[in-house]
Amino acid sequence: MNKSYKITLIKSLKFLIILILIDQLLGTVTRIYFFKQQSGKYYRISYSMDSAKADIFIFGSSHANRHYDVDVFEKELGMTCYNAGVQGQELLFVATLQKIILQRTKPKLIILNIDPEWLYESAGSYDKLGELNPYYFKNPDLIGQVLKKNKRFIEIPLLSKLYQYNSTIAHIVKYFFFPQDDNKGFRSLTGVNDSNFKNQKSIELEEKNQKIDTLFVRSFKELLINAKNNKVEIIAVTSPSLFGVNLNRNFSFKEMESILLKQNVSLFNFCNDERFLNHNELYSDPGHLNIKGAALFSKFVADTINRKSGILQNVICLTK
Amino acid sequence: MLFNSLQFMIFFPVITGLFYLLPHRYRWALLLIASCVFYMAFIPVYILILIVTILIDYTAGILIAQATNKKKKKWLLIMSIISTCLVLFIFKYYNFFIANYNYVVTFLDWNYSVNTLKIILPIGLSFHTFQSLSYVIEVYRGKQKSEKHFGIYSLYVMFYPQLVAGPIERPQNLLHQFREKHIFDFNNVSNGLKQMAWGFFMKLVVADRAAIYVNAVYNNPEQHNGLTYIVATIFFAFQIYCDFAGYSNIAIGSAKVMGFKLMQNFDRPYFSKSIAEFWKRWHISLSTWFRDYLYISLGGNRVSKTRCYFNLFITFLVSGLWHGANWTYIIWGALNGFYLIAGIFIKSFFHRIRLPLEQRLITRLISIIVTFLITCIAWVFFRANSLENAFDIFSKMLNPHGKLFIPTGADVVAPIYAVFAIILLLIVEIKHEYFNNIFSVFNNKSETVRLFAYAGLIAVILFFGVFDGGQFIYFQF
Repeated sequence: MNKSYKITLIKSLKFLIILILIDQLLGTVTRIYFFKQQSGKYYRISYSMDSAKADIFIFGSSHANRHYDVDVFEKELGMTCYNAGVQGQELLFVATLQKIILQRTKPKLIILNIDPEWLYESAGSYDKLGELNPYYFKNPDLIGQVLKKNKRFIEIPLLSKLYQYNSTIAHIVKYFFFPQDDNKGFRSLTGVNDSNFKNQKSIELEEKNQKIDTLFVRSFKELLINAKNNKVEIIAVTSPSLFGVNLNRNFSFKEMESILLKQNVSLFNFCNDERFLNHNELYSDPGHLNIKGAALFSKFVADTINRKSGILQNVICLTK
Repeated sequence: MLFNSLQFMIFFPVITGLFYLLPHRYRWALLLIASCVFYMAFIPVYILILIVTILIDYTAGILIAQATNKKKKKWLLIMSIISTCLVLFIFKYYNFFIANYNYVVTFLDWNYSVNTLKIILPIGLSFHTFQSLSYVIEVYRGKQKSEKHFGIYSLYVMFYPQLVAGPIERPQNLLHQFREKHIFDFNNVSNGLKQMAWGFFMKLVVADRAAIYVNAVYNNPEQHNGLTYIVATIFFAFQIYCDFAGYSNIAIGSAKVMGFKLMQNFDRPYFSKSIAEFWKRWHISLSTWFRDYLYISLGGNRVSKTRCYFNLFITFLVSGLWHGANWTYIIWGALNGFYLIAGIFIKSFFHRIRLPLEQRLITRLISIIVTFLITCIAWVFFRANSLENAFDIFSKMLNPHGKLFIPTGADVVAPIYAVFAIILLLIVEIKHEYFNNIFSVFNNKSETVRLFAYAGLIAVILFFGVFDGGQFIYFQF
């Protein structure tokens, strides 16, 4: 063998061994501290996946996380409640989280907060799936299957422990020194909205004729069917909006509406609800309700569930 | 194909392995096929545009070399330049000119508006067009023999490491390398891989991390205050540098692994003490291209002072237009031209003053900071979505009150990582710029220290890198 090839081979091997050592060592330390977190977003995701038990589970994005006051639901419906809404996440992540949770526990009712634009094509929605990387080792088949939708050869970088915990260290440090309060997953927002900006995303969606992502459609259907297969009652809710949104032009929402109808799942649409429209005092920012708004909205959702006796009857029947 | 994609992580070792396994006479074919695959990973059909450019300049090169008549040579050169630039014009500038024409027509209330074309700009078009042009100009100037081998000439234009974002090579430096036999050499492989690793650090850890904050601010111009724009612009200065220099490092490094030497494209530009120095350190392959083929052709500095300033200004104006078909780029180029001319006046004034060493060091530091800040002012035009936005940003920057914007959700920690990454980058660059001879982990005598240093660098990339950052900014040029 050529001398140069030999040197390269030996040094490459040495380098690889050192790299693997550093990766495994630092990766293991990070993993330990990652799962030792006692507050913050990743803690809530871990807790939802591994430990949370409740009669009602709330799923969705930051709208779910910020708008559904668990105390109100517990008081109004007389059942325990956990808010598994995840800030910044969208349908694919929510569907995966639901699958993982239902493998472990069977709540009586799932309240799925849907964002009207969920089914539109969005590269960001796939990119955000990276937040599942730290949990890959716990559930490689299920999570790997989802992650592959974004990156075909994702198993290769996931061999690295450091990659699995990419960009998590700041969270770990931040929430170690500044713990973040939550009430069974629910995190209320304070303050009153003083911004006149209409949510940029909704303006864009109204203006552009966006395409529907078939994978998102499939995922949405699977989410509903998965709940039914696990004999869990599921309802869908859209959160209130500060500004009026033309949902008739929103093909994503229309598609979700028709899927919900076909799957016989109730939809409570609070988008454009006049009790919340242009009521700055109920919002913390143009996209999110504040604590007052969240309490009011949660009450309305709980009342609607109570009023629609079918839902609670189903919940009782399914749990028998 | 993106350098920061998993496909490239498979593509690169496979092609490099095959390159060394194949006999020398087949290597050009392998590299050409690999380059086609690399380019067609974007929009496959656009390879036809490349083929057209290659055919035009390949033929022109041979005809120019064969022509004995000076007039004919010149005529052939002009025809080749016009044809090559026509492709660039149609795909890159046609819509811009039509949009401006329509604007004027509407303003004058005439009814002669023209429709724009619905086309996507082929990736890296300006880069390979300029590389192709440099070949015909050099053949015309008699500094380069025309290349008869169509495959080798095609490879000169298409060589995948530098195909879509440079460095823009000269035929004298690159063409002969395709004919030379490259023997597997450990040092080449090792140095190439090290340069690639540093390039990936710049792109994934610094540029793409800073981009999260920059995009959040610059893409929502109405929502942010002056302080936020100042921070975002400083971030952008590092983003654009690390994005492009990162690409160049990966390109140069991947070519080096196969034994090819590409020209240096960046030389720590933010340590420049003047704008003139900045342009000697920033995008060197483009700056020298404009110097050699435009500035000197216009007369360079062998003309009257006024004419020389005019030549400088025109060169930078065209450089701005090269970057993009938008008034923001043109203003950016003009501003740099203005800086450069102003710099000449300021230099002639300060040149007469002799300062003691201590004060000279302080002056040097101040010069670096001032150069960086005025570069940042120009970057506002480069990054703003429109001229209107840019001026709006400036007016906000002049009145920087209010709270600094911190992103919400998953991006909340992005600025922290960005600051950390920039500090890390600066430590390494300061060390290389001023203390090159003292202790270095990357160039340490001990092999173990070196191995640990590079393994650590890869670990930092894996741990802090942004792997969903997407394209390199300069692809759009």
